[in-house]
Amino acid sequence: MSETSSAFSAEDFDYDFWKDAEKRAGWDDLEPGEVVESRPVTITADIIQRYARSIGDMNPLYFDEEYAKTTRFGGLISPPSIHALFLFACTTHDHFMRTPGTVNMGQNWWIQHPVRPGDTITLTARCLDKVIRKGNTFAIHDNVFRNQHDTVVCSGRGWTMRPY
Amino acid sequence: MTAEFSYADIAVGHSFDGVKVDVTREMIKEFAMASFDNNPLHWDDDFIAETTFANGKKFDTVIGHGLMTYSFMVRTMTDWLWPDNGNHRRLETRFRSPVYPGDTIQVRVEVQDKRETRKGKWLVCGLTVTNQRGETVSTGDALAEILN
Repeated sequence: MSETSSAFSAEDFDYDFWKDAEKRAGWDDLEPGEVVESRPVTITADIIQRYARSIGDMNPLYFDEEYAKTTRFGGLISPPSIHALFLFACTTHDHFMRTPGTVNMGQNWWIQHPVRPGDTITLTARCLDKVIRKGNTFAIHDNVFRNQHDTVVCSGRGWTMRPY
Repeated sequence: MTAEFSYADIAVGHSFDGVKVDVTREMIKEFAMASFDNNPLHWDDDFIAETTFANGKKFDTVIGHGLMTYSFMVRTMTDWLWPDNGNHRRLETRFRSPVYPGDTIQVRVEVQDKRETRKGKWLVCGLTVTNQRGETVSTGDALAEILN
């Protein structure tokens, strides 16, 4: 994990998942229990609002600071499902979740604290287990996200079907 | 915020329809950009055509992200809970069938159980997401924490 963090923006992100595809771990290469490389990122209001808009969720708790201050949240927050983007924001381009053809089979997530604009999020990510079922290969992986106070904001586990 | 319901007001068996969404290619693309998951499964028809799984199954067209469906499920919970002093705390999903552009999907929530722990009041909820053909595309188990 690198020591530095900067405000994360879409301009920083390489959307070409074919690039470096051969560098990514295949099913055989995944080492259950080993923590994989990740990087801290600072989440901006813009990142949160782009995500909220994409799911049609215009809740003023994400957009209207004056309103949000009057609520029990005391300020802007993000949708609890914001971790959907953390996995890609906090990992490097050679992370196996970017492998073309990776199919999400299911997820479980515990939500502990709201994520706010300006929070710096770090990820501890591992593959935990590997499965072959009906001829397909699967990985089970867990992800724990912390904020700049080293407080866990959410933790979860997922199953993906691996293309190779 | 004014609380409109409290833990005691919610009966096991209470259910309601939540977010209903007409899924489009543009929506899937926007989600790919916003969530940073630009896997070709979500935009590349040629990749879909050449991708076959071990059981011989193929996708018909590009598919929506599992986490897009998941996000609609969570949104249904926050729309319900936040105005009424509740919080969405957990969701476990299984993505059972693909969501395709052109599908209309809707989330349904049912309160299946209630439990007071030493420090909290919890609603155990079952979520079902169906498409316009009545097929279940995703199911979920959620926990809502009620603060009053």
